[in-house]
Amino acid sequence: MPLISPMNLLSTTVDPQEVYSEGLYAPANPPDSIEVLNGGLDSSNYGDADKTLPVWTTKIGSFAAGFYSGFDSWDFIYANQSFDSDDATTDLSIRVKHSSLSSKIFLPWDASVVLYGFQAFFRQDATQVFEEDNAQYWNAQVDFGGIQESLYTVFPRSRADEDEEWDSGLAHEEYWPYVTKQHMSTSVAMGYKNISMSIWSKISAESFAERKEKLLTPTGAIWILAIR
Amino acid sequence: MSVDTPGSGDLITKTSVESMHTSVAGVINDVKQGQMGGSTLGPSQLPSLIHTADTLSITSAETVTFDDSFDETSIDTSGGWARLSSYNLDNGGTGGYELPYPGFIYAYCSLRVSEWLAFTSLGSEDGNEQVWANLWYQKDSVNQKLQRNSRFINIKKPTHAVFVDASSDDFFTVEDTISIAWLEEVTAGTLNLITITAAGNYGGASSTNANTATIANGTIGFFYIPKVV
Repeated sequence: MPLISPMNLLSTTVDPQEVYSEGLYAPANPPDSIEVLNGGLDSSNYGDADKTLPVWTTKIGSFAAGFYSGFDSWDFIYANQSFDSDDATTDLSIRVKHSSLSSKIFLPWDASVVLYGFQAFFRQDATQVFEEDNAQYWNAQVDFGGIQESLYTVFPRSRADEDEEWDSGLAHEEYWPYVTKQHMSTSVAMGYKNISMSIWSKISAESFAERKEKLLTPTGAIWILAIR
Repeated sequence: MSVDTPGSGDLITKTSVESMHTSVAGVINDVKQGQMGGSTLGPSQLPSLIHTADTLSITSAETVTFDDSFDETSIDTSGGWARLSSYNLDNGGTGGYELPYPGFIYAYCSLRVSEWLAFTSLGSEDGNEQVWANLWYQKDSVNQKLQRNSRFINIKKPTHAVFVDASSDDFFTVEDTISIAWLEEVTAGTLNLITITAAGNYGGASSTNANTATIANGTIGFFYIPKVV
């Protein structure tokens, strides 16, 4: 970085124009006044290779921002929270938000792409899984700038009780389905963004009366990677 | 950094101006170059890293056919492999995406394998039926990563089939996920397409009982970051 040269005023009296031109701020190339404070980046700051900048010249987070929220305490959602005839609803006002797999993040700049996803172990109580009389199952929707139907997930069987005939053959208590999915949005504007998973269940009237059916999430995480 | 300000009634002289200048210059000249340049550049000055990105959200179902001729090492659509036609990133059929500089491609997909159909109503006898998928790309008309990124899931057998109605759809529920992601260094050229091939296979000693499997919905996408511009 160039040095500021000593001031040498030639006028016999104080001349404001001369003071400005000689001292405090007088743009020049190379700069020899307080102009050197204006960034301090010139060709001498470049890295060894052409068109490169050393890492220390850039602010952390200039190109990418990441967010990760993991948990390892059991999350419980009971089917009775979501009992409704419309099990496939995407109305987030009545679906149950999975609080451990939801968050609000701040995007400090407009992003070219935002990658997002989740991974979690699930253990659900449901007698049967899908498309069957008395079918019982759980599903999940991921919302990032709107419901992402392409990430729609139905949880596979993992019912605990294998002894009763009605429950038999459909699950292992020790079987915790693991689900990991991801997707990407492009041209996302800066600001606060919500990412959330919502849960819905379909259970029989008998199970509803028992009030025991639940979705357990022993461990999991959501993540976001935004790149300018 | 500070400068002694003149008091009320003091005369501003050449000497006092030069003194103030010397005071300021001395402080500034002691600042190290690295301190000045450090963290100077931010989002306002620096360009975006992403040159090209594209993604698809697929909600229409795709069918994977099981084939006894399955060959894991096949590098084309023989050996039981077939393209998932919906999962096709080719820039809207315009021939692909320009890669003007060497750089990196990140690609991903997540597939929901929802159910399968068996030749018999008994479901899987041993849970050895498999659904395979492979995320690959074609660049400069040459197929890449055809073998190196396959993933598969096993179809699980019911635990107590004897108790359950053999026609139960539950026999045929899979509800498992295939997610693949990779990062690839590429040279300049044309990225023709990124897509998925899938196959059904039987991993056991006897022949498969599976007919087809359904991929109900899924995602696919990529972005390209030039290494040098």
